[in-house]
Amino acid sequence: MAALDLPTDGHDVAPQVGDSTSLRVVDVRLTYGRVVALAGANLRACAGEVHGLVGANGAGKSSLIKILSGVVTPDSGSVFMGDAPLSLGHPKLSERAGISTVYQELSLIPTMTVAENLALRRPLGVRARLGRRGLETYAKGLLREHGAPPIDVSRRVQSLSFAERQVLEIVRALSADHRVLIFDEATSALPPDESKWVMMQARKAASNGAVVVFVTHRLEEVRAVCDTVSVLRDGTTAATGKTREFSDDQLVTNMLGRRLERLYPERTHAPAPDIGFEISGWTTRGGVGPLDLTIRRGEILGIAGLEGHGQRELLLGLSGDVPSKGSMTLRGKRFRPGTPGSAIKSGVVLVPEDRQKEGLLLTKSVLFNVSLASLTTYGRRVGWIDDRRERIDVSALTGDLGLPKERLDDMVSLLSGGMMQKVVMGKALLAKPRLLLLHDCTRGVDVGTKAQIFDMMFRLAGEGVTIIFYSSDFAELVNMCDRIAVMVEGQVKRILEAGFLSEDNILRVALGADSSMSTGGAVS
Amino acid sequence: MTPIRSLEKRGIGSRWLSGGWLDSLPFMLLVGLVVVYVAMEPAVLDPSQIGLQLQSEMPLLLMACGECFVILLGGVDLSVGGICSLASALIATHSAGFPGGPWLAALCIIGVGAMAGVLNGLLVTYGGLVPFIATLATWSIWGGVALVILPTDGGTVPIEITDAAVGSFAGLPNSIWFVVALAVAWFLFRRTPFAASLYAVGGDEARARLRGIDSNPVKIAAFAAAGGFAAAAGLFLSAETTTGLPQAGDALILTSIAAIVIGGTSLSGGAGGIGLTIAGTLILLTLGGVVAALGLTPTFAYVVSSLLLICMVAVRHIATRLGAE
Repeated sequence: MAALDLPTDGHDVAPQVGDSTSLRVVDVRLTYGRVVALAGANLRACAGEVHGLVGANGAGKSSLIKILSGVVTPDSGSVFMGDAPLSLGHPKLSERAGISTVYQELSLIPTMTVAENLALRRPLGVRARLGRRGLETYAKGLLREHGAPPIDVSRRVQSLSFAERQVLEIVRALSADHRVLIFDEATSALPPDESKWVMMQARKAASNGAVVVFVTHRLEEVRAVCDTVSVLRDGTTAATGKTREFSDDQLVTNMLGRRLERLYPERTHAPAPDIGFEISGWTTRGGVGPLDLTIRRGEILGIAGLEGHGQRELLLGLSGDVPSKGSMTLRGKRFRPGTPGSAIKSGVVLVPEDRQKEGLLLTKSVLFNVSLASLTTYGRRVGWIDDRRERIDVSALTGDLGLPKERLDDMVSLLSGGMMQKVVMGKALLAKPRLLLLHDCTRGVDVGTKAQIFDMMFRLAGEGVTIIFYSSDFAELVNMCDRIAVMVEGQVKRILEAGFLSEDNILRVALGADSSMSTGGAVS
Repeated sequence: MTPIRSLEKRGIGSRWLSGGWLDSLPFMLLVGLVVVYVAMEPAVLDPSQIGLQLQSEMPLLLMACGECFVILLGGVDLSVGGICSLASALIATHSAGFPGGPWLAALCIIGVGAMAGVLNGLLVTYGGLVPFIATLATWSIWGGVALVILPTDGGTVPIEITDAAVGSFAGLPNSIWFVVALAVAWFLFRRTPFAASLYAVGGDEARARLRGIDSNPVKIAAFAAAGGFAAAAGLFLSAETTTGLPQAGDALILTSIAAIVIGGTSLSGGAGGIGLTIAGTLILLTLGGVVAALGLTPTFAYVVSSLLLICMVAVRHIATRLGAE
């Protein structure tokens, strides 16, 4: 552990007499094959407080949470509730021990309705069980009780938006009997309002006497809601203590093991004057458009808006994943993507939102995944793949992104979330994009990886690549984009021009409260 | 605490497409077919006629109901064919003089079917075999055992059992009561915690585990149900034909899966059920009747039902695609 001059008063994990309510994790180790996920991690969180858990991707946060929730069994180490050791190892046992988890990957059954999901494994009266109506009344009651937005309880979970699912997952976890409540990146996919609601729930649970563990990547959330905080790095606890005793800088330094000079790089190139990409009268299935957009070469256009206003459909439509109508021009040439494959051939590449589901073949190697999108580049005369050249290109590229060469042959499922994102980025870049579509690719990614992604974006823009960047984090948009298009109900409500880029302005336009605002931009 | 702004109104896309009307599609189709059938052949409305028709379809229905448990888990059970044949062979050879009478013999045979199902379940869960492969093997095994016990069609079936299959109660043929009993049993079962676990494991096994559900017991129980129902199908087959049929089960395997799919149960698991499966089976039955009433050869019914199978799956696929976007 690095010798850092930081307060460590909470680091003491020796049992305290009479303390029956604190959760303690003592010297937990966990390895997957030759990958060490946890190398002796410690944690102590007291009842009545919200304990923040931060760390870079791959630091072991997810592994630690998986141990607490019983998804995996540690190689060694123990978990105590007060003085009593807990026997974990199956989610059922964690449930019995009173540990309730808001899973990052969500534990909702997609084929079941909202009501069925909330009622699953809950003790219900006969009346609530008999018939759909009773079940739905029960579910509606739960949503109301926790101040959640009204979600139609008769809908199947697979038809809900990501934000709705996330809210539902939280209500589900809250509704279980709990002494310990774990939020595993519950806010990473949510717009600001819902994130506030999540933090309020964490606060409330703590004041009701629960131990609350709050995993997040956003330092402002740590500040806002966490009384104490632990920083994980490389599978060990790098620092722990009261939140107010750490500066943001100290937290980040502990996370990375080095100082991060700045998150957002300096912009050195201005966009080229010529048009890179243009659409007009363009619509997609799903109700987006008609849209007219003109983006220059080397320009980064931000896409903002509240969740579910067509951002996803816009990007999927441009990438050929969803059928679209209207004219599209890429560097002066008309084009029409029929499929993602033909879009890639014309130089339009999407970095998808759900890296596990949409972007990667989890059981294949890093090398295979990166080169898959551009296999034709490595085709030789008769159609074999030139694997030597493939390997050289891929390792150069992943080296740029900070992915070690010796991991090229590892199975992707063994990588951490941040590493996976790098593989997805690498795959997109290898295809030599002219228009790069980034679909919330920084969600759930640590600051170190984010900084690398941002560097890469500016480098590409400098090379003349047109970038459309959708992010649910408005601060990223404000710092990275030349202009920001705010979407409301499938339309571009307004394009914010340079000088008017601020989180406030985005929100104002998104909420329809922009009449008094001067944006300097043309109303679209 | 003030509730935060509604998330619901923001979604784009047609919600109703993913909603419940798809579930009622097979019932609407069934009603339509019955109306057409009755219009062509008013005589079929007679209860004894209905009873006869249902009786002929009962082995398929029982088989499909059992198979449905495994399909709900996203699996498939081919061994139901072998188990059905085995049950038929056993009742025709071993029920005469069985200590405790023919009914105990029948019960034991259903037990044998359930145990064969448990074996499938163990192979799939602890053995790690894919259901298709595991049950492909056990199908041949039980089919072989059936032929060892009874090499050709024959044997005798106790008259009590035949009476129960073809008789009537309170003025209605027993086969009608069987269908009603199946529907009621399913209605009640659907509301048990076990049924919820079944749907959860079928919908997403990994997530069901996160919710504290052990998938192995659920899977084993589903295969056991499939085995038990397959044995019951074999018993019914022997009862109505009063003879042992050691190869009769094989023809029912794929037809039962077709009935399940036409009913609208998803082969990928987690959605559907026995209510829909009953509807699917009755659709096949009525379709056969309509084809016969049109004066076409019965083999034509296979063509029509196969086309229907493709249509139902296509409609469902297109509707969910539109609904998801």
